[in-house]
Parts: sequence; C-alpha cells; structure tokens
Amino acid sequence: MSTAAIHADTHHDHHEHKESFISKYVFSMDHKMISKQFLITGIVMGMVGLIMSLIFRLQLAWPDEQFGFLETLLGKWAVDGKLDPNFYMGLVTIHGTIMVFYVLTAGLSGTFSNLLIPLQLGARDMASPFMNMLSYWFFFLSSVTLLSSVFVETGPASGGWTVYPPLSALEKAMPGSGLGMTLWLAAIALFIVSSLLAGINYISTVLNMRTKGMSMNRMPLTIWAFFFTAILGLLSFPVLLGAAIFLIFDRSFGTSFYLSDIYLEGVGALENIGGSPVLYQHLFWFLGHPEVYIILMPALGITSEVISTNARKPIFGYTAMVISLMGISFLSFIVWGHHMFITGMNPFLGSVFMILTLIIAVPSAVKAFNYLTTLWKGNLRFNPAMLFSIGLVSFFISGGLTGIYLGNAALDIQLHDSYFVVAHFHLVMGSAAIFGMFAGIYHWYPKMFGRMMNKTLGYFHFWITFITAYLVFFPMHFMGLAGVPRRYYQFTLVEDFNVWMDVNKLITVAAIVGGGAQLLFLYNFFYNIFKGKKAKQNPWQSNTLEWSTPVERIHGNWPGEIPTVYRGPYEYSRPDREEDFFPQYEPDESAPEVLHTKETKSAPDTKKVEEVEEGSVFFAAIKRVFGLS
Amino acid sequence: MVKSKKIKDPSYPVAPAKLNLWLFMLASSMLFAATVSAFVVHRPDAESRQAWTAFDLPIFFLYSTIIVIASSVTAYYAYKMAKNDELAHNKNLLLGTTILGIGFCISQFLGWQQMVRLDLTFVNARPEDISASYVWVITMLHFLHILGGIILLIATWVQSIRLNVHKKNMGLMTLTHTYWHFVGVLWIFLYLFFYFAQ
Ligand code: HEM
Ligand SMILES: [Cu+2]
Repeated sequence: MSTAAIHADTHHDHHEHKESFISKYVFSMDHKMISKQFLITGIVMGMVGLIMSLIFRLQLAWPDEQFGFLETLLGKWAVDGKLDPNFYMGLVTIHGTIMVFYVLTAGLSGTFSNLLIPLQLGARDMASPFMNMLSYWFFFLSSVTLLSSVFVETGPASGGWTVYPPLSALEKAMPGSGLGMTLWLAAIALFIVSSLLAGINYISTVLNMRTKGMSMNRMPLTIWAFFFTAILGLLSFPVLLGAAIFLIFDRSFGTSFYLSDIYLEGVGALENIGGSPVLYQHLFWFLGHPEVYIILMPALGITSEVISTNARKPIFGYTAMVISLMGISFLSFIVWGHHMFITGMNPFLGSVFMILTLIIAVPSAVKAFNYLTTLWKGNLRFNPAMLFSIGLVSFFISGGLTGIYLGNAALDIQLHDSYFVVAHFHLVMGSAAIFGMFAGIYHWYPKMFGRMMNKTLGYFHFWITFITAYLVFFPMHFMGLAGVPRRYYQFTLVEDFNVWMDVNKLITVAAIVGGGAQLLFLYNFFYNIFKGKKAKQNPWQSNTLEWSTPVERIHGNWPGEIPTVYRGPYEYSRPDREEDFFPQYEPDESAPEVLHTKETKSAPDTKKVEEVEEGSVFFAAIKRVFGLS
Repeated sequence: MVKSKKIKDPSYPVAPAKLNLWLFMLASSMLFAATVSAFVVHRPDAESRQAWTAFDLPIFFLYSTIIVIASSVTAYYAYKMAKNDELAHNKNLLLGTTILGIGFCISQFLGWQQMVRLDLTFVNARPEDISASYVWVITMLHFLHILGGIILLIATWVQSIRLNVHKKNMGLMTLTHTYWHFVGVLWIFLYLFFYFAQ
C-alpha cells in the first residue's frame, strides 16, 4: 500500500510497531481506538437495557402467566416464573439509567466525539490522550459497578432513574434502597468523572486544535453538536455530583439535607428533620433537562451530516442550524422546572418555566424544517445511514409535538407520571437518539473498521426497528391520556385498566420483534469487522476531512502533513463543478487565493449571500469572545 | 499522540493543558455554584428564620482567609521569578507557598474543631442546624481542591529544585499558579458568602 509506505517512511522514529496488545487495544490512547471501546461497551450496555425492557414488558402483557425461563434466568426474583414486584422496579430503574447515561450519553457522545472531533477538525489526537483514556476506563468501571448492583441480594436501585429521596435515601424504604442504591451512586459518581474528563477534552480540542483554514464557521455540524453537548455536560454534571454528594451523606452519614418528618411503616417520625426533598429535584433536574439534550444533540449533528451527504445538497441554513443548537443549549439550562410542576411550586414560577419551555419549540422547529428542506429535491441516496437519519427526523417531530403538551403546566398536572410521558420521551429522546446513533454507526463504520456493513441487512434492521418503535411507543400516548400511570407493576390489579390489556400485549409483541431485529444489527456489526467488504477511502463521497485519512487508520491520523481546509463542509452539487461534491481539503484551482481572504464566489442567489454575510459577522463575534482567530 | 519529527504540525493558539485546566475550573465552579445555591434555596424566608441556625464562622476561617491571600501573593512572585529566570527565588517562594498552603489546612482543621465545640456538628440533632451541615460539606469540598493545589505546588517545587522551572519552561508553573489563585479566590468567595448569608 502506498499510504503504508509513506507512513513507514515518515514515522520511523516512533514506536507504533512496538505496540503491545495492551497498549493498542486495552489502555489505548489513540482516539479512534477509544471511540471503538466506547461504542462496543455502549452496545453491550444497550443489549442489557433492551433485554431488561423485554422482561418487564412480558410482565406487563401477561401478568398472570408463568414464564419458566424467567425463574431459570433470575432465580429468586421470579419464583414460579412470575416476576417479583420489587425486581420489576429495579429493572425499570436500571433500564432507564443504562439507556440514558450508558448508551446514549457515553455510548453516543463517547463514540462519535472521540472519533470525529480530531478527524473532522484535522488534529492528530485529542488535547489530552491520557485524560481520554482515563475517561474510558472510568466509564468502564462505572458500567461494571452498575451491572454488579443487579446481583446483590437486596436487588438493584429501584426508585426510578431519577432516584428521588426519601425513597432512595432510606434503606428501609424499599429493598432496592440498600446496597443496590449505594452501588448506583458509586456508579454515577464514576460516570460523572468520566464524562467530565471527556468533556474537557472535547471542548479543548474543538477550540484549540483545528487545522489551518478550519475556522469555526467551517466546522461540520457534527462538531458543533458535540461541542455544545460537551459544554452542557461540563456545566451540568457537576451539579448532579453535588446532588449525589448530599444524597450519599443523607444515606450513609445521617445528615438531613433531603429528609424531614418521615413515617416509615407507621413508625416515626424518623430522626431526620429539616431537610427538603424538593431541593433534590431542583438539583437533579438542573442536570436532568440538559441531559436530554446531551443525548439528543449529537444525534442531531450526525443527522445533519448524513442527510446533507446523502441528499447531495448543502445543508439548508447552516448558520441557522448552529444558532438553533446554541439556543437549545442555552434554554436547556433554564427550563428544569417543567419536571416539577406538581411539586407545589409557585404557579407564577410554573408559568415562567412553561413559557421558557415552549420557546424551545422554536429552535427545534428550525432544525426540523431545515432537515426537511435539505431533503427537498435532493438526489437522495437511501443507504441505511440515510434511512436512520430520516427516521430520527420522524421521531423528533412526532415525539417533539407531545412535548408542547407536557410543557404546559395545566396539562402536565394531568399527564405527569403517566404513560403519556413514557411515550413522549421514548420517541423524542430514546428512539430519535438511538436512530441517530445507528445512522452514525452505518455511516462511519468504514472509517472505524475499514470495512463495509451489509446494506440489505441494514434495510431490514431499519424497517423493522422503525415500525416496531412506533408500534411500541405510539399506543402509550392513549394509555397515558386515559390516566394509566408509569412505573406500575401489574395493571390487572386496577379494574379500570383492564381495557388496556390488549394494547399491552400488542406493545410487548412489537417490542420483542423490534428487539429481535437488533440481532440482525449485531450480526452485521460484528461479522463485518472481520469479514466485511474492504472500504474505499471515501465510500460516501463526502466532503469532510475524515475521509482524507488512509483506510488503515494510523496513529496520528494523516501520514503526511495535516490537510488544509479551503471551504465549508457542505459544498455538494456545486454547479461549477463536474463532481457533485467538493471536499474541504481540495484546493480550488480556479480561485487560488481563498485561504484567509473573504470568499468572493459567484453569487447565483442573493439571499444566500446575505445569510453568509450575517453568519460571518456572527462568528467573528463569537471568535472574539473565545479569543480565537 | 505520535508526531514524526519531519512533519511540523501547526502549533496551537493555547497550550492544551492550560485550556484543560480552565475548563476544569469552570466545572468545579459549577459544583460550588450548585452546593451554594442549595444552601440559599434551603434557607427559610425571613418570617421563619428561627428554623435556621445563624452562627458566626469560626475565627480560624478568617485566619485561613488571610493565609490564603498571603499564599496567593507568594505564588504570584514565584511565578514572576520563574519568568525572570531567578531560579533560587522561585524555589524558595514555591516552598513558602506550599508551607502557607499546609498552614491553611491546619487552620481549617482548627476551624472545624471550633465548630464541633460549638455543637455545630456535621450530623445534627436539631433541624435548624442544617445550616452547619452545609458549611461542613462546602468547606470540605473546598479542602479537597486545596489538597490538589498542594500536590501541584510540591510537584512544581521538586521540578524547581531540579532546575526545570525557568523562562523557557513555564508550563507547570503557569498551571500551578493559575490553579492556586483559583482555590484562593474560591475560598474568599465562600468565606464572604457564609459571612453575609448567615
Ligand atoms: C427496547 C426498547 C424499549 C422498550 C420496549 C422500553 C420500554 C419501557 C417501558 C415500558 C418503560 C416504563 C416502565 C414502567 O414505567 O413501569 C420504560 C421506562 C424507561 N425507559 Fe425505556 N424502553 C425501551 C428503550 C429505551 C431507550 C432507548 C431509552 C433511552 C432514553 C429508554 C429510557 C427509559 C427511561 C429513562 C425510563 C424511565 C425509567 C423510570 O421510570 O425510572 N428506554 N421503558
Ligand atoms: Cu426537561
């Protein structure tokens, strides 16, 4: 291979050839390897979370049935094949925790920020490869700790993924609040350390290590999304740490930050007095709301990139997309109260949170419309990545619309803690972000492993997952409207909810089929790492820098000099070009003096030019704020 | 990260470690913002103020404040000396700063002892004493940051003894200097906050 030859030539002074198995695959400091470690750990955690959801869905659909295999699998948690109510709560809690933090925060950001920030910006690695490695290993430890909590005698944490005190603070409140809860808190503390280490690295690399010509307004939207995501994490995870620290002290040291006047099993009051459980909710949701955007924004960024590439069109409204991300990021810090409308908050404060929440609909709608207008009259290439991206747009819209209902304080008093909420967040955050993640995997698989995934399997994977996701989550809206509450173990115990049993069965069957479709994905993913068709260097004819690196994925990313960037990332189908794409790293022969001078392109469309002008002033201002030029 | 000697990569606008440190300080400011806000949210409004123990901070916390200001001054001069290549002064000032840092820790310990003597323990029997628990949590979190600073100071001091801190090698010195000012300012903020918020 010629690239290998160059590589050997220019890198003869470093130690790559001496790398041992441990330093290459285990304690790797190469961002591409760390990205794969995050991805594979995320996939494993995702499978665990999925299997948990299938187990508790079985319980909801056939509460009186005895499933022998459950007893084999779970032992005393499913005596006679009937799931134990406490373990049901534990499964729901760990399912939520795994999906939110482990799959869609670490698995998604960890994979794609690590892979793409250096590759798309033209850096040899992250700002601190060592911190990057630590970040993965803290995440790994955290995953092991969380999973181990499933095996303790009193069961895992069971108070819901939000672990509200006093339920979570008092060992006697429920079995899961014993050792299981302690392990949950330890796992989350490790997780926070991991995500802070990672976030610092992402931000620092984006601000500081872009290659020549890669001004901020030429960054791909993926990078913008990862950048804002990392900022959200950096500002909000420390607050969760604060909440967790107070909770740990209440649990293990006997303080009363969150506890007051509690009667347990008719005995009381406990010694703890003076605390405020609502304080916990404030602290938790100050993280919790930004967290849902930490989950969603990377998926939105990936979608922008995939849709633009496969529609062979410039993304519609690049600047508007960036400003929307910025607007969403900013607003996400001042809307946490919409999770607390029923905590007895001052109705005036409730209205403030309500208005702020509804304002988020504006940047969200801008993004949705920009996706649709990018697709409009494009030369669409329906490969699996593209389908999953379009799927994301669908979920983002159908799930986002119900957010407008829930953001309304008057309606939320009825809908709070019902299946309507479960439907809403599974569509807008769960399914949308998972689809973004799949889109990313199908799109960048060639970059990660140098091979291609099977397209046909990808199509089956997409269609089955897409249809079953709607079948699972859409009916839940109606259950919620009728008042069916979430986190209930058995609906047949409440006479009125018996009418929903058919729907519950439909949902569970759909969930099992959808879960089965993931086996197609697993096969496609793992088999093709070894046996897949060899990838070309730029299989999707994309513009961004990562496709200028050799297929072999070398240390330091580029064998020679880091390429220079000459233009924005989305110049597809330019009328003056023969090819329908124009990579960022290819100099333009017809206009030799483009770098660092204002581009004076021929302007077919005056409105477009205005937008560009506006954008550059805006970015100049940001650059000044960051002290960068 | 591996770079070959032949290829010259562009240098970065800011030293990566320095930027990382600033981001870390931002994150840790958020931790204190959260805990301090919890204190403010928890504090009852004026009518029911008797449900909240207001107490004077231990006098040792004031001493800590003075010590931390002094140590910031010595840290600043240590930095300046290193910049001027006055290595001996730099070494001594670093040692001085470290000793002041340890003095700060001792003063904090004495302050905590004083709180215990006033029956303002971390775990308290009366609901209104929850204010003391906050002071404990927040001062202890700050203490952890100070420990980190002292480790940095000692590391820099060792480097200075080995003549590795000078005009052309300011990396570690800059980090230590910045971080030490950060924990100092943080303490002054916390002290003033508790002083006026009680
Ligand atoms: C495999 C497909 C999935 C199915 C069938 C499923 C099903 C469910 C159901 C039925 C509940 C409510 C249980 C109850 O309230 O008793 C639930 C809770 C939850 N799920 Fe999923 N889910 C799936 C995937 C996901 C994904 C991708 C996410 C990522 C955001 C997610 C996050 C959550 C969260 C945060 C909760 C709330 C846990 C709690 O109440 O504390 N789920 N899931
Ligand atoms: Cu929210």
